[in-house]
Amino acid sequence: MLLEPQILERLDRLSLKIRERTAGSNPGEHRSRRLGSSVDFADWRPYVEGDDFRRIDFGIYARLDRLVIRLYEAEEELNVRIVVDASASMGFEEKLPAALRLAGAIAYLAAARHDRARVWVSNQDGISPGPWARSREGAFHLHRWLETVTAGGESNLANGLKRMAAAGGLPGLTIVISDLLSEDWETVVRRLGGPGAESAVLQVLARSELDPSLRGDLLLVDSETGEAVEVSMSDQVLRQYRARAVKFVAGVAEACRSRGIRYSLVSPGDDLEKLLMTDLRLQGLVR
Amino acid sequence: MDGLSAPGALRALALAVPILLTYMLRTRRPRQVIPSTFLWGEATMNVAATRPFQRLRPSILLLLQLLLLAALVLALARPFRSTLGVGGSHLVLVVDASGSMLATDEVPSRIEAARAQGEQLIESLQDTAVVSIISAQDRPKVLISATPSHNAARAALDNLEATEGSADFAEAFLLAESLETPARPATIVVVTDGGLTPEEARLVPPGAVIRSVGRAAENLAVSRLDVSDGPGGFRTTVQVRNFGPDHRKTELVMELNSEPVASVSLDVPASSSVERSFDLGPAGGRLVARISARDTLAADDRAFAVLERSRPRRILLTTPGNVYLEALIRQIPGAEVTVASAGEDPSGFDLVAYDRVNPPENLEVPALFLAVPGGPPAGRLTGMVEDPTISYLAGDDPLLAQVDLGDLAIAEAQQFEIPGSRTLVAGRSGNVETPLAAVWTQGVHRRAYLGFDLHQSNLPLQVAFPILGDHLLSWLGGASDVQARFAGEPLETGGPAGATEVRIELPGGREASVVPGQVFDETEQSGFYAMSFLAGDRVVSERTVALSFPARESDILPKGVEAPAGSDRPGLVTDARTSLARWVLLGALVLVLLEWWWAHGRPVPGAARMTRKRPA
Repeated sequence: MLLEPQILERLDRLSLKIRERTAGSNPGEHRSRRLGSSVDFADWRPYVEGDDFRRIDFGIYARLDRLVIRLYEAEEELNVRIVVDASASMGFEEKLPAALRLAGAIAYLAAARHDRARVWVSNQDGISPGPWARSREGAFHLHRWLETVTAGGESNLANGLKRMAAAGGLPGLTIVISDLLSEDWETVVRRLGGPGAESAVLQVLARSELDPSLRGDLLLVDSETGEAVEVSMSDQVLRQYRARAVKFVAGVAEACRSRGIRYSLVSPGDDLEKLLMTDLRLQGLVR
Repeated sequence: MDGLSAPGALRALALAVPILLTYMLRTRRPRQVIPSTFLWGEATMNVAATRPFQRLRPSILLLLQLLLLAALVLALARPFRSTLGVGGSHLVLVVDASGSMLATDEVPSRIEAARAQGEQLIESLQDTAVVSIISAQDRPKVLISATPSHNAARAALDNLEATEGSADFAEAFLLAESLETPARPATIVVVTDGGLTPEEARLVPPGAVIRSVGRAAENLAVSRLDVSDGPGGFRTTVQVRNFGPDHRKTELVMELNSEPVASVSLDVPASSSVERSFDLGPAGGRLVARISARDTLAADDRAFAVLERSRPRRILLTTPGNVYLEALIRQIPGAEVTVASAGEDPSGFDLVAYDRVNPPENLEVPALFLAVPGGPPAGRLTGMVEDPTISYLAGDDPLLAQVDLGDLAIAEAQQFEIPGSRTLVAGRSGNVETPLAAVWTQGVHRRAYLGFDLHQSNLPLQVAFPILGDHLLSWLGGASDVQARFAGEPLETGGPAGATEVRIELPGGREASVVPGQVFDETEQSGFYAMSFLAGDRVVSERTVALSFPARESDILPKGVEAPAGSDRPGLVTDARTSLARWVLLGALVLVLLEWWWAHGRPVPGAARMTRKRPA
């Protein structure tokens, strides 16, 4: 079981939060860019032939002797895409399980509120979608599919996003869960931050990747590319690495901020409930 | 650098090869798979193949290690610089430590410049040469004698300090020549700014090398501070001398017991002096004359004196009987009066009076004589006069201040003359004129002579008698020691009977303790030396002595000194080798520290911000 029942119970009280109006195809709980038939008043417009008589505002007609129609807000579903990086680098220190649990929780959040959620996994086979989840049952089905995902191969997020955008744009909310430990991380961020896009980056980095405790003369081998580097671990080298790691994380956060993308740094050891209830709420992704 | 003493050591540069190899040979490293090498960046080197060698990459550490090796090898090769050095195997260094060496026209001072010259000469010595160092000061000292340890010689030179006194070069040259042995002729080097007396200049050892220090002559000094103790109080005369070529202005301030009592602005022409006198009143204490001068010698901008009205304490009166004189002497506060008819030993008394009794010869105390049968000790008795009338009164003399001798009548008086004396009162009888009262100084002791028996005059009945008596006794009992004394002069510490210890507080606040009577010669500083005479823990007497900066040392214009020729004493040579090895080793030490810092201590930008950050 991907998520424990008590966590699902807490998730039932939350919902995803977006800044822009949605443009879904089915009724839902998020305000749409279109007008509709909710109970929330939006505006008036002059009556034209064919309008429903029931929408004429007779109070206005009585005062102004003009026929106007009352308009109401429409509420539609949110289209949520969650892209999980399942490259080989995510297979260390429980990074991928943490990313899949996070993806499952967000998908459940969406489905429980009648939004549409889908998880895409990027690994050696390219980027491939999981099943849609539109209800709690659909979310459980998605969870079972996520439990089968394994890490491997090189990260190919940038190309995957390009493919997704080419297939139909990225309407709704797009969330990328990845360590972004590749040269093309800036391309990933840039493609997420298109005009009108609503997106978030959840960067998963283990503590050992920020503050390594390696010692001695080592041959370090990249799990994705197989590239090897020789490093003589000294205090000086470790200080340099830590400084570079801090600069990298700060760079990703700044790139996201400048494009209106919400960002959060996630550690595999973080408590999922706290992450959702506190950290993502602070980022404005969950309410 | 002019050459290498051991060029063969350069072969050790071959050690650079193994150092380079350590950077080119690969080490076999354990394999460690990590999520990504993306962040390891430039701290690493890419693995190209399984070759044992790799391309030599630029490395600060390699550069530092090669420089360190080069420095160590260069030190082993013993680099040297050709300098002026000592030709003989025994260097006798005579360093002028007189007050003028405190001048700061050389940076930081002349004495430091002299020390640097001395160190350079020691540096140039052969390893087997020995060194002697003499500090030429008021009482010259041998700081170190024929030592083979050049480090010990350097340490002795470091301890050499200039005094605020003069230098006795005659004694210093005598010491220098006494250190020479026939088997080891000495190179005598005198480092001085000049200022030798003509006698001292004649005593410069033949063949000695004179090294000069000092450049400037500009100096303003308090060159004299005289104090006289008169009936009206103390009077001081200050002389300020300008030794420089330019006209100078200054402010002269007189301080008595640290309180300013007088101040005057002075214009002192070039190479000239001005004098000012001040009446300071009867209060005693410590007097300092201070000028505000910005010049190269600060030590002579002040002079010191002690104002002390010393009344005699132990007085010997030798008389066949004189109630007037005895009563007069007994009026002196605190006086212990011994009355004798004749033959009493005058030693141990502060003042003696001989009334109609011949004194002993070689009297070494102040003395008052009245109608001595043999006449004045330093003069001549030429006869007697009867009923002389007053023909002369030294009205301006402070000793006769407030003294009215208009009704003085004398039945009979001696006719005498004392060469060099000052006549206070003279009388005439017929055509004969003779002094009736005179004062003079014999050696350092004061003398007063009355040429008539008090019983043969009405003086004891006059109001003037106690006034004149007090003036004379005060003058006699005071101050044969008002003459200026200078730093470097030894202090006599003879004190009252029963004293077992003399504690001396020096100008700098330091204290010294000597046995009474012992000469105290740690008087290199000008200022006040306060002596307390103790009997057990009880202070029985106190005395303060002021020592000033000698005016001779204020003339700081460097003066050339020439050594007489005609000696086969070794001099200086121009091709002496000064080793540079220790400077090279110092550079090597710096390289080691730099290498350590680069490898371990160098701060890395951004490392301090290593925290998990959640940007908003």
